[in-house]
Amino acid sequence: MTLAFHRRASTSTSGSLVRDGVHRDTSIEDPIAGTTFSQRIVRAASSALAKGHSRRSFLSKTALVGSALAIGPVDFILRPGTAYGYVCGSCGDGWTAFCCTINGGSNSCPSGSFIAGWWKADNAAYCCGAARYIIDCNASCPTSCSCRCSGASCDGRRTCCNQFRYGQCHQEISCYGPVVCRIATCTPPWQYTSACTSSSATDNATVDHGAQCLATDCGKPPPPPPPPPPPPSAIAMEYAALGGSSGLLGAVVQAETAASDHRGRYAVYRRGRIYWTSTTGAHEVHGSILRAFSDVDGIHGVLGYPTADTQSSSDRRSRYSNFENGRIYYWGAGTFPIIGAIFVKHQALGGVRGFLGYPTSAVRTSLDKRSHYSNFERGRIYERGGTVREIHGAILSRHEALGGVRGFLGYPETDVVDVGDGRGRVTRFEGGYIYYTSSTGAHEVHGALWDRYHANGGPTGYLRYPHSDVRAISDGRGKFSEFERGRIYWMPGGGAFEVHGAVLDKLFEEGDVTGHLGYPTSELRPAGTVRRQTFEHGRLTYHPATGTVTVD
Amino acid sequence: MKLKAHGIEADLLPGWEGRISVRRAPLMSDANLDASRAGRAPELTQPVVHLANFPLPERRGDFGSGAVDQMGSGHVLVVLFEYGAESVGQALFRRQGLPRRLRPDMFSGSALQRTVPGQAGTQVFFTEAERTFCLYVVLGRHREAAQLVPLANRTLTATRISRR
Repeated sequence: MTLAFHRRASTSTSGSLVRDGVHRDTSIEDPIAGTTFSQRIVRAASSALAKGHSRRSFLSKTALVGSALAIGPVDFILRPGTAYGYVCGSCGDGWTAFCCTINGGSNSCPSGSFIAGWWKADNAAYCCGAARYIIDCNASCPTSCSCRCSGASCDGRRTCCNQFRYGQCHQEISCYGPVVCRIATCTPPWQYTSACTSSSATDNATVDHGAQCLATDCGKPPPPPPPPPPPPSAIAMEYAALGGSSGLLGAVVQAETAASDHRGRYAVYRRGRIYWTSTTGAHEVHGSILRAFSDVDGIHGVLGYPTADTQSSSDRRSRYSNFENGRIYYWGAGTFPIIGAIFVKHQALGGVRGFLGYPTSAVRTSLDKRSHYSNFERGRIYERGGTVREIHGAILSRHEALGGVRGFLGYPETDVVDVGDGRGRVTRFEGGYIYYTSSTGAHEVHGALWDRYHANGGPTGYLRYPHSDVRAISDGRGKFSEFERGRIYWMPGGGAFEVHGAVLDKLFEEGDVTGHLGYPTSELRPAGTVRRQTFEHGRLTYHPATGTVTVD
Repeated sequence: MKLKAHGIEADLLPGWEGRISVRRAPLMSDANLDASRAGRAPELTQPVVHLANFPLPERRGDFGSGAVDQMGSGHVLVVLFEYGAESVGQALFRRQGLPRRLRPDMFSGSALQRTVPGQAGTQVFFTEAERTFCLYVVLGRHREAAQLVPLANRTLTATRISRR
């Protein structure tokens, strides 16, 4: 690039100044330095007009001043390039532009200038922490460039304004014009060109001087642009979606923070919280559900993080929140969690729309510490050692009446299941069974009595369903169970045997097992054309032909 | 008070202060190591004199950067910057002797390292005692040159340079 120098009206270089060792080209004195009457007028006018005005308006107004004065020197001084350069200097930083901004992007001296001196700034980021060198390109004499801004606005630095020389380079040239531009390099000037000496000048205030056309010079690419601002967090988006501070949760009480489990994050609001993990997403918990959640240790407890916002049940009776390991219901009877395997069981049984209905208690631990259980509207679910069983209805009531899990029946080993005859249901417990039909109610059978009952077909055998629990006999020796079609008697050492029909009627006539016959010692067995059943002290014979029973 | 170091003496006038210093040579810098390996001259730091009738800030550029920002009415800054021996005899340093009779017409608002509105400066390159220097004088107010230049001359008169 060749600079468009415009030599001004020539004022002869003062020979006395040169003799005095002043080698700057005084023919290029900037209006700043002018001390003539007209120059002072223009300076004052420029300063006044420049305040608060754009370049365009400023130039138009200086032109008006020039016209008004209508005298030659003033007209000369008020040429936009010159006057604007003066004013521009007052709004720039006073430093000269970098060469790459005025020399077609080249970081070198333009023609009409020469390397005249240099300085350095230490610890320069531009040079990766090493020294950065600034080399001045001063205009050659005779010079005619005019002081002006290097760019289109006062934001740019100036060119051809500062008649200053550092002096380490081309010392064989004494006359110098103003600094046209500056070269920035990480290479020491005395290595950059042999025209420079290594006498070092330092000005660390200039270490960060830069221009868009300058890059780092240490083999590294320019630093990447700053990353875009992080997107709002999932918690922030959830909060916004819920209406922010004027929404469901209210104002922020505690800003989003990492949970101590190093897994998730949470934020606290006036009426609730939002929890987040990468797997569950961000979900709110509020109100009594939040209190119930806290009661089971929140995210640190067995429920884990919420997996959905609070929602309404399809039957409109409740609101609930889902968690990783359960659910909390808020309904008319209160707010209760269902957790873990019990929750899975409850869901498998139809959830709140199933026969168990809504939870009516928090998860409880049994007194024997062997199980956890949850109560529901119509039943209970026990979880013990990985086994989860439900009991409900009359069977549950009978079980409870018999001492529950602390009674002789112990824990259920099956759910309440249908017998398969279309009538009854049964639950097996650790210590026996409870059978239920709507006509017989719920009754237990256990021990040797149940063994006999089971051997004889159970509820689908002849006896059908029990309509009593196992009862003790008044003699203190044995027990019996009463069924729809008979009884089973048991005595220690004698076994359990079924007695039914006409034989049972005859036994009653003879005083039952506390009478002279005593306890049965066999089942009713065929004997020729009759059937016979033995007792401790006799036997009863059934005669099918007549339907009678005789005592033998 | 007298400053004396590196073959330079300066009698400080009342109200003046000054420093004669040489920046620590970065002997272990990459540039100097490279220069040493290549048999080239390493970076050389030379004496720099700062004399001023106002408080000098601790952090200053060799040609007064940082100090000139503190200058106002009545203030004068005098800088003597020395070059290496290889500069002796060069055209730029043709003048002999430290100038002690500066005149207002030697100053210009554009003869500044960095333009500061209202200030003026001048540079005189010279040789004395076979040493080469740049004298750089800054006036806090150009319009006070008639009063300030004599102050600079009094200080320069009280400054002496001898052979090293």
